[in-house]
This record gives sequence, structure tokens and C-alpha cells, in this order.
Amino acid sequence: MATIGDIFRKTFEGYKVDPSDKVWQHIEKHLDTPPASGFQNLIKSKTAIIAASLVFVTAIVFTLVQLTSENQPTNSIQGNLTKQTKSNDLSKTTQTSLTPQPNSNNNSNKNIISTQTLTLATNPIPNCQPIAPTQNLLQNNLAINNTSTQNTSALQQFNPIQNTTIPALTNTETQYTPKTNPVFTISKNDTLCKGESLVIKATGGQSYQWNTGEISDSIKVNPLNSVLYSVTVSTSGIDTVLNTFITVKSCYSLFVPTAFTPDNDGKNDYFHPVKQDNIGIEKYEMKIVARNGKIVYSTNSFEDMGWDGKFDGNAAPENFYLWYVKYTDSDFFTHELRGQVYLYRH
Amino acid sequence: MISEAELIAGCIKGDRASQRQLYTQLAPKMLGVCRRYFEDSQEAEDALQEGFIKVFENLNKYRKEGSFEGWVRRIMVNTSLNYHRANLKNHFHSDIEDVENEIVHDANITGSFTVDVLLKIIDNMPTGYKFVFNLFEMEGFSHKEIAGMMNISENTSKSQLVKAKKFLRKKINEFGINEL
Repeated sequence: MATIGDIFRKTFEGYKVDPSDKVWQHIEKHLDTPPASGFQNLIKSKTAIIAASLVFVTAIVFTLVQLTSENQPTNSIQGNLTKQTKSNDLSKTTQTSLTPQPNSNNNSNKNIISTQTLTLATNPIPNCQPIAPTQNLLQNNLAINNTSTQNTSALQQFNPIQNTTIPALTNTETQYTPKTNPVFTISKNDTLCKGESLVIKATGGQSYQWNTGEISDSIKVNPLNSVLYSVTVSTSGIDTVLNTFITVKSCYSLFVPTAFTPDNDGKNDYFHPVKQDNIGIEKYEMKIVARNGKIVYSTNSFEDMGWDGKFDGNAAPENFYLWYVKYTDSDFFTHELRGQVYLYRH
Repeated sequence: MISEAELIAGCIKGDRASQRQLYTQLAPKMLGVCRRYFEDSQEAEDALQEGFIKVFENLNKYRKEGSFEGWVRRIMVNTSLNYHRANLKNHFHSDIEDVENEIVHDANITGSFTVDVLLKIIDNMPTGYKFVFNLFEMEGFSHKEIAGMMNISENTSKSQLVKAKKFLRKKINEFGINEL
């Protein structure tokens, strides 16, 4: 007695399939160029992008906030001013490096401004109010306020970055600009039978956005109709759109016999194509032409018995005859078939 | 005979001979794993190739918790899943019914089967069944893990497994009779 799982596990235990040689060749080729590809792979993963950009931005914001909070205890206005210019400088650098991120850019601006207004507000206090305890109290309050802004700013930073993962990439990406011009490729146009699936692969990018919504470098598709797949491949801030057209055809086909024997023995007396599978036929026409070019039989109905081997009421001679069939199946695919059939008399 | 740890260390250093040896040792078995997720053996090879590249690139992240082969296997399974992710989400939407009410008599199959026969059955399984069955029964993931990996609910995972087993049972019986 065994469960289905047991049977499958037991049967597949130690199941091995030898891969073809080209698998290792491709892997080896890939291993020969490790740094660029390794980084591409890293970049490919969404989490890595989020993590990297998050660390990057929070680090800047944190240093900023730290710098500005350092301002508060200093008593001289001059000291404050120099430090503020410093932080202004810093804010400029953040702005430039964050330009591709409209959302987080706004946000970090907001944060910088708010912390600055806070520091500015502290400036007059030490000078105008010489009473030590109050000053301390105020400074404490401010310190608390400041830490709270720091917290919220960290939170505010988090959300927009999550939403704009791909633009955030450009911050880190520039450091790893590929040496050569990027080459993007996509699988060639292809033709599929309806019901089959196909993997379409794009290469050369650090991120991919398909019109199907996928973001991996390859997608498996199973189209019901002919369709254009497109992918926006991005690397180092360059976006390229690549297209591949997949033609879907129905691979259902009719079986057409190659010979028939119109001798009324009940076997193969009529020449008629035979359905395969459960194919539905919406439109149908068949013509049979003799070698001399005369049409010996034609019909527009698949339900007809087919050709009985007679022409104008007389038995047509033993010979090859050419046939032509055109039909539209229930999936609305039109098929045209041609061939020859041997009329056999004995 | 070089130990696994030495082999891994060699691969991390980028020693081609070690990489080659690791590949040779594991590839046939891993292609056997990938093959269960693809009807097309060419696609299975593509997944194997991509999986091994990931293995070599992430070897330094292998933490030696659990077997190395298990770690590689998991990468292969995830890579195979990735290939199907585009299509997977279309395979589950009609499975909201309650699983608890379904009773499956699971434990009375006798006889032995060849890999070829079972593979043919797996190939003909609806994709949703195939993945959940493979992940749960063959790879040993929990429904919770499968739900996370495939972005479906735990209940969907359970119901797919029940259906998968029904399907397999029927097919196995058919094959059993045919073979007699």
C-alpha cells in the first residue's frame, strides 16, 4: 500500500537526465564574464534594489539630520551658519543624485527644509534667553522634536522608494556603468500552434518590463491569438523597447487519404477528408481536379459523402487526381490544403 | 577524493575545474528535478542553465544549514517556477471551495511504475496541479511555503493538491489497466 506521493517519490528517486553539452558551454561562457553579469543579477532582484536605494537614501538623510541636530547646542550664530551651509551643500548633493526620483526628491526636500526651520528657530533662543534651565528645557524639547522628525523622515523615505524602485536604481547604477555599449536582444518572431506555450527572453538589460506586466528577463507565454509582446529593457538609465511578434495558428488539421477505391464494397468508396480531434468546421470547400484540368467534383459542405469517383455520371478512370481543401475551424483559423489522391480500380 | 566543502571553496575562488566538477556531479540529478516542471526538455535545460549560473554566483551565500544538494535543488525549483510565473496566475482563480469537505482515499495503490509513465502523466497535468503536487510531494514544501512561492492562498494550495491527487489516481488507474 502506498500513497500517490510515495509512488512518485520512489519512482523519481535518483532520477537523472544528462544535460546536453551546450548547457555547460553556456554556463562557462557566463562564468568568464563574472563581474558585470554578477551585478546584473543582483540588480535584477527587486529586493536588492529596494534595499540598496533604501540604505543609500536613509544614510544621507540620517547624516543630514545628525548634522542639523549637532547645530542646536552650539551657542554662536556663526557656527550655526557655517554648519547650515554645510547641510545646504549636502542637500544640494542629495537633490542632484536623486533627480530621477520625483517623489522621494520632493520628500527629502521637505525633510531638509523642516529640519532647517527647526534649527533656525533654535538659533535666537540661546542668545535671547540667558536663563539656563529654560534653555535646557527648550533644547530638550527641540531635541525630542528633532528625533521625531528623524523617525518620520525615515518612514516617509521608505514609501516613495518602494513605489519607484526602478528610477531609484540610477543612483547606484552609475557606478557600475558597463564598459561597452549595451546590446539588447529579444527572442525572434515565432509561430506557435494554438495551445502551445513559448518562452520569450530578452537580454542585455538590468531590468525588464513586459507588456504582460512581468519584470523577469524571460516570460512564458501561451497566446490564444497572434500577439505582439514588447519589453522595455533598461540599463544605466537607457530604456529600449523591443518587440517580438508571435503568430498563433491552429495545428488541428484534417487527415486526407491518399487513395480510395470506389467499388461499392463499403470500404473507402468515397474520397473525403477525415476529422482529427474534436475540431469544428465552420466553412468548408473542396475541389477535385483531373489531370486534364477539369473539375470532377466540388462541394461546400463537409457533411457531403465526398467524391464517389464519378464524373458526369461515368466512372472516372484510375489515376491521380489533384485536390484542394479550404476550411475554417471553430477557432476561426482558416486552413488551405492541397495534394493528390489515387483513384484505384481493380 | 575531494570533499564537498573543498569543492565549494574552489568554486567560490573561481577555479574552473572545481566548477566543472560540481556541475558534473549535480547537473543530471537537477535536470531530473527541472524536467518535472517542463514538458519541453529544452526548456528544462534552460532552467538548469540559469539555475547553475545562480548557484555559482551565490555560492558564497550558502550557509551550510541543511545539505548542499538541497540548497541547489531549491534554486532549481525556484528558477523553474520563475519561468512559469507569467502563466501561473491564470491557473488558480476557480478554486475557492472548501477543501476540508473533500475526502481522498490516498493510501491503497499497489504496483510499480516506470519514470517514463509517471513523467508522461505529470506532463499532462494541468499546470496548477503539477506545481503544487511537485512542490508538496516531491520537494517537500509546506502549503504555507507553496502559498508564498506561488502567490496563492494556503487553501488554494491544499485544494490543488487534492485535485492533483485525484487526477493522478485516475491516470494511474488507466495506465495500470492498459499495462495489464
